[in-house]
Amino acid sequence: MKTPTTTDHAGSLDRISPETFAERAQAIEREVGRVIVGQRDLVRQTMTGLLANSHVLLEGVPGLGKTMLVRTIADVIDCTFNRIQFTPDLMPADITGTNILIEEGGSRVFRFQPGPIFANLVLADEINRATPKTQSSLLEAMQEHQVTVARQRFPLEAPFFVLATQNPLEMEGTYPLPEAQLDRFLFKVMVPFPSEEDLIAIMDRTTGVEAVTAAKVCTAAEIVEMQRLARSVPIAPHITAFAVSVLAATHPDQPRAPELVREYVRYGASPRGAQALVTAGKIFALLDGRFNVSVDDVRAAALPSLRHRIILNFEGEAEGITTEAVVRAILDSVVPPAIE
Amino acid sequence: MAPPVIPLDPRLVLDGPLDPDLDEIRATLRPQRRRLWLRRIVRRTWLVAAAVVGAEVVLFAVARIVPLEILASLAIAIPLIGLVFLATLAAHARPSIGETALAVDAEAHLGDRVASALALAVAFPDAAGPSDPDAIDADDEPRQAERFIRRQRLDAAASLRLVPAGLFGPRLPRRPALATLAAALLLVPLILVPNPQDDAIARTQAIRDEARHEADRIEEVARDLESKGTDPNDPRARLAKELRDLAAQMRSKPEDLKLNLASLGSVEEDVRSQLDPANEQRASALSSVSRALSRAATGQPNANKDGDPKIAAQDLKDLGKKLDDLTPEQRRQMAAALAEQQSAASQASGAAGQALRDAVQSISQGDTAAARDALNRLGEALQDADTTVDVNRDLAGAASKLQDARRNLANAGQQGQGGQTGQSGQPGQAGQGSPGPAGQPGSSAPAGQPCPSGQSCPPGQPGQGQGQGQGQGQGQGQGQGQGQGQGQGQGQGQGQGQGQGQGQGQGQGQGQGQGQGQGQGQTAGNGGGSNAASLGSGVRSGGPPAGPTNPNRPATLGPDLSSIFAPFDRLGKPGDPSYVAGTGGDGQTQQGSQSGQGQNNGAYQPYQQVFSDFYNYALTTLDRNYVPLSVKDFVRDYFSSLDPSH
Repeated sequence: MKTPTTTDHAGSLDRISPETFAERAQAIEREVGRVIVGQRDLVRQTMTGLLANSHVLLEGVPGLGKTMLVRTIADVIDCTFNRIQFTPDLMPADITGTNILIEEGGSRVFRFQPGPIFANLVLADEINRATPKTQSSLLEAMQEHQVTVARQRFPLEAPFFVLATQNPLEMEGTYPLPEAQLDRFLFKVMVPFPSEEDLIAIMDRTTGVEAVTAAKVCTAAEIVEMQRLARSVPIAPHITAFAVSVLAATHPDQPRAPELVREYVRYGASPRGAQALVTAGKIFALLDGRFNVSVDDVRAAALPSLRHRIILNFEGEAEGITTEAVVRAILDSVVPPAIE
Repeated sequence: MAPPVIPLDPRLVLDGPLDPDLDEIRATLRPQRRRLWLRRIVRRTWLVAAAVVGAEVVLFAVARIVPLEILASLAIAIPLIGLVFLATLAAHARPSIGETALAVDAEAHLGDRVASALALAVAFPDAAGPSDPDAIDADDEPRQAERFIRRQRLDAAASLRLVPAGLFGPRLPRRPALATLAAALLLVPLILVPNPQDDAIARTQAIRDEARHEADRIEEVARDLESKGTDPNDPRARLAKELRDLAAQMRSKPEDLKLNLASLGSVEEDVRSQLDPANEQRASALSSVSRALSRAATGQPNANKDGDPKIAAQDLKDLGKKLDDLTPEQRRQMAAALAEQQSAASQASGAAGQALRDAVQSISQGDTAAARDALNRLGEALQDADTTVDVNRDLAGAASKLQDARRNLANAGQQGQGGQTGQSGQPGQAGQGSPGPAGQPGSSAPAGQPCPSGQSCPPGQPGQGQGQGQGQGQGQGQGQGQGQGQGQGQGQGQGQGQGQGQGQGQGQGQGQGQGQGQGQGQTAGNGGGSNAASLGSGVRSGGPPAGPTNPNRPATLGPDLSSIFAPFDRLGKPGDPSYVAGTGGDGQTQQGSQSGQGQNNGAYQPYQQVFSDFYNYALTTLDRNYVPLSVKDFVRDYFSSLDPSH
C-alpha cells in the first residue's frame, strides 16, 4: 500500500491569484450551500479552517448537519474523507493505525496499517466521548501532520483537515477535551439551530425522492495552493499589533484586560490564539476580495478563535459567564487606532 | 519593540524613489489630511469653548462666594488662555499621513486598505520602490510577498480614488456643543444678576484708595511740619518723621483698615497728648499783653494793633533804651502802665510775667539797667511764648488733619458695610471754658410812637437791645465705655440791658470714663443765643487710649468702630434738635414819651454782609484749634446752611 505524504501536491503547485482564490472559495461555498441549508457563517468558518491548514471543532446538538457538512465538503473537494466515531472504548491505534503481523515471502513481518486518520478530511464525530488518551492521539497528527507509530513517522497527506464535533448535551460519560487538544483547533464553531425558513428548505430537500448532491469544484492540490496563498497575504504591523492586543487582553494579569477578564478568567489564550486571529484574518480578507488584513477581519475571527482558548475561573463558571461574553468584552475594550 | 500603532509615512523613513502608486496614495491623502485637520480643530474649538465657558461659570460662581477683585481680569484671561490652549491643540492636532490613512479607511469603510498600504511599504522597504518587472514572474516567497504588497497598494490606490473629496467635513460635536450651551445658559444669569460681593470689593477698593489718598495728605502735612520745625528737637520735626512712617505704612498696606486706623489713632493720640489745652487762651493773652505793652511802651494808643509779640519785644527794647531819658514821674507812670499787664503777662507766659514784674520793679526803683535787662527778657519771653503758641497750633492742626484722615478712612471702610463692630471710645477731652466776649454795646432807641392818653395806640415797635453781653458757659461731658457716650453742653448767655439770649446745645461724645468740662457760651448784645453746643467731653478714668469719640453713634454699629468716627449724616443737620439756635433777644419796649423816629445805630447788619467774616473766622478757629470732630462738621454744616450764595 502506498504511504501518503504531504509533499504530493505542494511541490508542483502553480501560483494562483487572489482573485482565483476568491472564486474557488465562492464555488466551494456555493456547492456546499446546495446541500447545507443556511448556516453561511458555519460554512465560511469551516472553510476558513480548511484554508488555514488547521482544524475546526464544531459544537452543536445532534441533527444540525455537522456530519453532513464535512461530508459535503469532502464531496466538493476532490479528496479523501474518513469518519471516526469516537466512543469510550476507542483506542489510539484505532485512529492512527498500527503494525500488524503479516506473512510476506514466507516470513512474518510487521507492516503498518494506516488508521482512519490518514485522509484529507477527517471527521472526528463526538470527539468528547473518547478517553483523553485516545483524544491525545490526534495531537501529533493535528499539529505536525504526521503520525508516529513504533518509532516510525508517517506523514499525512496535505491537505489534512480534522473537523471534530461534540455534543453539548448528554455530558454524562464524556471526556471534555483537554486544553492542549482544544488549542489545536483554529476555530470552535457553534452550530446554531436553523431558522424556520431554513428548516422548510431542509424538509424540502431531505424528504423527497431526489437527493441533492454537490459537485466537485476543487481538488486537494488546489486547496493546498489556496492554503499557500493565504499564508502569503501580508499583514500590516498595526493590524498585527491589534491582534496581539486582543490576545493580551484575554489574560487577567495584563493591564489592558477588561474588568470581565480580570474577574472571571483564569487563563487567557495561548499565542496560537493570535496566530489563529491573523491566519483567519488573512483568509477573511481574501474571501472578501482584499489583499490586506483589516481590523474587522481580526474582529470577525476573534470569537471562533478565542472562545475555546479562554478558561474561566470558578466564579465565572458559577456566574454563568460564557467565553463568548468575555471575548465580546475584550473586543469592546481593545480599540483599534482611534482617529477622530 | 512594539509595532507602531499609526502607520508611518514611507517618505519620512525611506530613501529613494517611491512606487508611483504609493506617491499617488500620499498625494491623494494630502487634501484629506487638511480637511481632517480642520475637523479636529473644529472639534477642539468646541471642547475649548466648553472648557472656557465652564471655567467662566465656575469663576463667576466662586465670585459670588468669595470677593474676587481680579474677577474681570480672570474673566478676560480665561478666554485668552483658552485661545492659546486652542492654538497649541490645533498645532498638535495636525494629523500625519498615517493618521489620515486610518481615518480615511474608517470613514470610507475601505477595510484598512490605505493604512495597510503605507504600513506595508514601511515594513517591506524592498516593495516600496518602483516595481521590478522580474518580481512579477518570480516564484520565491519574498518575491511573492512583494507581488502581493504591490497588488494591495494598487487596490488601495484604486479605492482611494473613489473616496469623495469632502470626506472630512467639519462636524458639530454634540457633547461639547451641548456642554457649551448649558454653561452659557448658566453664565448669563451669573453675569447679569448683581453680585453681592461687588460691595465688598468696592469697599476694599475704596479703603485702599482712601488710604493712599490720606497717605498723600499726611505726607503733605509732614512736609509742612518739616518746613516749620527745622530743629530736630522741635516737636513738629519729630511728628513729621512719625507722619512719614505712617504714610509709608499706609501705602504699603492700604487695605489693612484696622491697622491703619489704629496707627492713625496712635499718632493722633500722641500728638494730642502734646497739645496745650490753654494754648488759645495763652495766645489771646499773649496778643493782648503784646498790644498793651507796645501801647504802654510807645505811648501810642494804636500801636501794635495785631498784638504781635515781635513788635512788642522791639517796643520794649526801645523803651529800655529810652528809660534813662524819662523823668521819674514818667517812669512811675510807665511802671504803673506796665504793672496793669502783670496778670495778662503771667497768663501768656510765666517767664514773661516774671520779667514784667522785674521790669516794673526796676523802673519803679529807677534801676534802668536792670529794667532794660528785664524788658529785654520780657520781649524774649513774649517771642518764646509766641513760638510755643505756633507749635501748639501746628500740632493741633496736624491732629485735626489726622482726625480727618481717620474719619475719611473709616468712612471709606463703612461704605456698603452694615453693622461693623466698633472700637471702644476714646476719652473725651476736658471741656474748655472761657468767658464769652463782651457783647457789643447796643443802643437803645425809642421805637414806639408817643401815644396821647385817652387814645388807642398802636403797639410799640420792638426796641433795640443795648448792653453788654456776658457769656457763661458750662459744658458737661459724660462718657460711657463700650462705644457709647453722651455729652451735653449748655450755655447760657445773659446780656445786660435789653438783650437776652439763651441757647442750648446738645452734643454727644464718647469716651471711656467720665468727664466734666465747661462749655463756652457767647451772647450777643442783641440777644444772640449761645452756641455752646456739644462740647461734651470726658476724662478717661483708666485703660489705654482708644479711638476718638464718636458722638451719636448708635449702639447697633457694634463696638469696634463706634468710637472712631461718626458718619457725617448722623451729626444732624443745622436745625435739628441737637442744635437750638439762639433766639433773638426781645428788646423791651419802651414807650417813648417823645415824638421822634428811631435811629438805626448800625447794630443791625444784614447777615449777607458779615457772613463771610464769621465763616472765615470759624474755619480758622477750626484749623488752629483742636476741635472735636463732631463739632467741626456741625460748624461747617451750620455755616453751609446759612451761606447766602445757596
